[in-house]
Amino acid sequence: MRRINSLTAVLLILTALIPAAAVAQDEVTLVIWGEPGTADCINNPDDNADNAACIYAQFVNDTWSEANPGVALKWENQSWDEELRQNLTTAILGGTAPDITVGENFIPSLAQRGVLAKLDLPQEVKDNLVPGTVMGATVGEDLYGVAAFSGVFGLEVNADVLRAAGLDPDAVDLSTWESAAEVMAQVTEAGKGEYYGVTLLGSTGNPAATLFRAAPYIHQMNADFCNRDEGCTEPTLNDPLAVPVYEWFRTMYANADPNLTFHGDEGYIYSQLYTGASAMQTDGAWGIGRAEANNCNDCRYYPLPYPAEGRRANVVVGNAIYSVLDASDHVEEAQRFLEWLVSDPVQITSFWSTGRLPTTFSALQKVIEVANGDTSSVPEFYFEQLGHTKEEAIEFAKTYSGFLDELLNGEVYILPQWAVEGSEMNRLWDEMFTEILTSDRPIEEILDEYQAMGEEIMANAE
Amino acid sequence: MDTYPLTRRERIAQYLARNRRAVEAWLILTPILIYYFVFAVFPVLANLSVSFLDWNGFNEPAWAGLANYERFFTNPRYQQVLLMTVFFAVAILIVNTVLGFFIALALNEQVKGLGIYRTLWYVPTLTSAAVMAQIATVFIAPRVGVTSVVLASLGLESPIWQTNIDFARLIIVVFSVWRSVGTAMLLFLAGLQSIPLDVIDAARVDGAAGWRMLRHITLPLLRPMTVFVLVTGLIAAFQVFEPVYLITNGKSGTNVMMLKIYDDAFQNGRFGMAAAMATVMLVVLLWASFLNLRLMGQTSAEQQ
Repeated sequence: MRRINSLTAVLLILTALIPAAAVAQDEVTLVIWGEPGTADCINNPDDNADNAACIYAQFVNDTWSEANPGVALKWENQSWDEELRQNLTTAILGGTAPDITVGENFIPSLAQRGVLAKLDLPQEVKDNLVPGTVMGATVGEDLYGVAAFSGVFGLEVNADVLRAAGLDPDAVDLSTWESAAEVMAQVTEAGKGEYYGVTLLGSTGNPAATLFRAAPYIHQMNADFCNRDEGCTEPTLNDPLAVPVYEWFRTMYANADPNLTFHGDEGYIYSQLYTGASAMQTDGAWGIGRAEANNCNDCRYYPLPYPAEGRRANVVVGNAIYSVLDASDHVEEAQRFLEWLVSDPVQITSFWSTGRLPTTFSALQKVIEVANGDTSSVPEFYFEQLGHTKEEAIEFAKTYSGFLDELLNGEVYILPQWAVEGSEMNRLWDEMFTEILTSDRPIEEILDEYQAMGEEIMANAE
Repeated sequence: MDTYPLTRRERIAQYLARNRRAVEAWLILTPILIYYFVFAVFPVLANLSVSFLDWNGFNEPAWAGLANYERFFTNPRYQQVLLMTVFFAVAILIVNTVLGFFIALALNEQVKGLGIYRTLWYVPTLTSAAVMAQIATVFIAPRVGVTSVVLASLGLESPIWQTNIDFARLIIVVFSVWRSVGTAMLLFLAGLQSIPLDVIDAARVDGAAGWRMLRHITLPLLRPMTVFVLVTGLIAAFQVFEPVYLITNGKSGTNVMMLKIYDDAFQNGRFGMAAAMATVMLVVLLWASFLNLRLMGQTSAEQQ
């Protein structure tokens, strides 16, 4: 009798556990190595209670979870850039890689090594992606990721410095290299060592930072760092089209504080504009928020100046690409999440919460409509939670219009994706750039010298 | 007397009784041996096997034989890296040893606040390399850097240190010495304090002082410690990484093997090549360790 009772009890427990097990099996958890800011907002909401950018992160997490009850998200902050790449490589080798990872410059090399899953998005979704934002996630014809948000470079101007130099900020022409150089020279002359025409970034120990700000001007002249058609195995450092670009940089360096240029701390260098140490600098859209935080009363934003014989061009920066790992057990769900990440509600929330640029045509268009006075697409939280008015929303969108226009209408590129020896080639370029700025040797001679070194690096890499 | 064959249990008990001390020793050592095998021997063996492969970390590894080693010793880029590693190792070693010795000599004197001086010299050794690199950057930063400000106050124009590769090399050597001279100083100090006082007194009675005392008494008696400082210093200097990574990020002309190993593994996807370099480094460091043991053995035999 006792045995029958025990058996019955076991059966009852098992019966009770079966539905629970079934539910557990249906539940999918996507592990996401997210962009640090987003992951931190989600994992430490109390520490970020006053952070407006966290509205986006919470929106992504909560809205997805509500709409997809069987697919939970687990966000992890594994840093950014080099550290992220290293952590990811280690995790892949150890079999502990996430389902989705964020990345910027290393996505193509991972895709080429077969680590990432090819994205199979509906054509209308693909067509809506701004090409420059997914250039860094495309290998051949195949797409390996989408950018959650993006950015491009613009010209950040401290109007007060222009006024101090006796110039009218509303009247100066900063549209071309020639006209901008003239303004820089006037400011430098008036500054007498107290302030300068421009802030320039020299060698900082992180070549990518300098490369990022030089690349738009290189592309404006239709030059490049390597032959991209050949998979960036051939350097083109001595491209004759690049010579005027480096002359332009020498002109800027003559109107910059050389000590600041080679200060080494990127953050410090780019904060000096707000203190009145210089009149303008090449900076990303994040400068808008930073200028506000540093009490720059009249900081303005324009498209980058371009050469008379060139064209408008830019590079994407702060381009947070999310990709699905090929080894993931939930590739289908992960792809669905990525598709959702570039949907209008998410993209629009991102812009109005973080100030980071949308990566789809439809979302960019909606922001431009706000700049033109139609505030119907501005999310409620912008008014209710952040306490802004419609006028402020229009002003906010207008401030970004130069960047938005560049992303929508300019030729947008990504940094060179060297097939091998990427860090070595970037270091070489950094040294070449330093040599160009700090010596008076003919530019062509320097370019030829470094081209030979670049060819040697690539030849020895084979 | 009749003898009976022992049972298995009895044989084991007898063995344990006879070898009790050895068994106890093995039991005590087993956890650390397991730890040592898992975290030291196995990684070395795994690294050695990867060094014979052509493997990007994600693909199917292909046998490459000695190709990675051949490449390391014949490719001009790797030769330059090897040369720079040797340059830094020798430069750091010489400056570190000489400076460490003279600091120890100074701190061996009975002066007020001796403990504080000794501690101050040793603190950088205990400080994180990242923090030290940040301090170094503050010193060499143009315009607002300590060096620039000091030069400006003297009416001198400060050079832009970052644009000069020779200066970058100098900074790496200075930084490395700054971090490690405390250890050399401490070891020399221990050596100096172990010199018998009666030997010193006898030398004084014989009229030795100053340079003669140093040359004929102190230096010969410090030979075992000098050998130890030199060899352990060489092992450490050969692995220079933090200052290069944190200050110049391996700009050509400052790149070293440790950084190249990191670059090849995590940036270029050449794990086989990185493993081959790590193996070369292991061989060099093993040689230095054996040299250390041999020289230490020689000097102690000579002293006996």
